[in-house]
Amino acid sequence: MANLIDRFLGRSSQPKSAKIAKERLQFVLVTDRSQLSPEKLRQMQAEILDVIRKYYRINEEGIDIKIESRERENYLVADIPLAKQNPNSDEDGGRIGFMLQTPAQTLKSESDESSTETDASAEAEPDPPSS
Amino acid sequence: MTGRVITITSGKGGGGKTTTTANLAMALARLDKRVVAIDADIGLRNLDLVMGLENRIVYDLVDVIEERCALRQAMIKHKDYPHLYLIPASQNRDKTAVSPQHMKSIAMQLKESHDFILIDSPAGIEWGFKNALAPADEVLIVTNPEISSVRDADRIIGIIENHDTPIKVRLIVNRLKSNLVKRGDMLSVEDVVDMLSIRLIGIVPDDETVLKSSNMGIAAGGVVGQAYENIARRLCGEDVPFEESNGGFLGRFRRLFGNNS
Ligand SMILES: Nc1ncnc2c1ncn2[C@@H]1O[C@H](COP(=O)(O)OP(=O)(O)OP(=O)(O)O)[C@@H](O)[C@H]1O
Ligand SMILES: [Mg+2]
Repeated sequence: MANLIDRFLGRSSQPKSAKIAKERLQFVLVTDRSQLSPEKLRQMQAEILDVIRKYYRINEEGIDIKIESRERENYLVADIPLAKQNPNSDEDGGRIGFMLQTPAQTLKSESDESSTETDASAEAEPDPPSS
Repeated sequence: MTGRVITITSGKGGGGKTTTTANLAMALARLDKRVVAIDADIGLRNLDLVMGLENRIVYDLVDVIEERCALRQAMIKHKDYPHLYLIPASQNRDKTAVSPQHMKSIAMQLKESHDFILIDSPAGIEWGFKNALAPADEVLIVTNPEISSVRDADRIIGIIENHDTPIKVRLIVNRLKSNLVKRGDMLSVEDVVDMLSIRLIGIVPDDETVLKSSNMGIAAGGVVGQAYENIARRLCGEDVPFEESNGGFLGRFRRLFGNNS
């Protein structure tokens, strides 16, 4: 019966091809919209983490850093928990969070070089409040 | 009067740009608007056929640009709508005969005495597309609910966002098969809008009336004709609710009770 209702409502347990299509598209659009190749993006993430490691002790397991598309803009969104100052205390070590807006891809154009020139430097967004 | 220049484009080929330009032009004409449709697909002339005007062509877009005729002479009056005109593409010329500046100047002249100038863009992001985009105040992106079509639409939207003048961009989802959406085998309109993050202006079902009407060079009727009428009304500022896109409850019940009108 539940199965029938699911079928009636168009629900099912197996992933449908449209759902897979959406996931694949979301992934490819993030990289399409970015000036950097996925390879370069990964490299940049790793280097940013290295810089932070110079100044803070990071709780390595908790690192959450990814590229996200919001309203057609790409952001590098990071939430990096820090290691406890004192391993015996209950207080956590705080965290570093940031959102880096990454410039979108522009048309590599032969005919109107002058019109589309983007600032190649990334703009830093204000820190999201960290919990 | 100052008309609106609306370019219909898609990135990927075969998504329904020409079908949309023709049917939207006719739908706007039925709403008593003064309309000019321009075929900017130089070398691959098609809009004339879909609009049923292929036998009346004397001059084309390139003739205007190269001053072999006046703009007025290249405007073919539609047989059914006295305020609808077509400017055909040239069939035997190269696309480089046209430049963005030419398109801007032609559009500027047409704006003075028409409500809408619709431009049928060629596929791709190259020369012909840039010509079609240059004079646009607004763009309608035609996409099919299908991965490569959506991806190419996204690319086009990115390019338009970087254009030197601000252009209003809206989305038409064409060839929607609601039975496939229901089955989970086609992206829904919601999925597509969600990924592209632009405003929707119309949903056009996949329907064989399109084939029949373009065979005959007339406006599509039935659900497709209705869809284009709705888009035309929305373009004119009317608040027309969207058709049921994903075969929501209503659709399903209707089918269940065999009332499939
Ligand atoms: N809603 C629809 N339902 C069924 N068939 C459709 C629909 N829209 C378009 N088609 C068909 O799809 C084909 C391609 O349409 P059309 O020529 O309008 O696309 P296009 O984007 O202009 O192509 P091109 O990139 O080659 O210029 C045509 O055969 C047309 O009849
Ligand atoms: Mg076409």
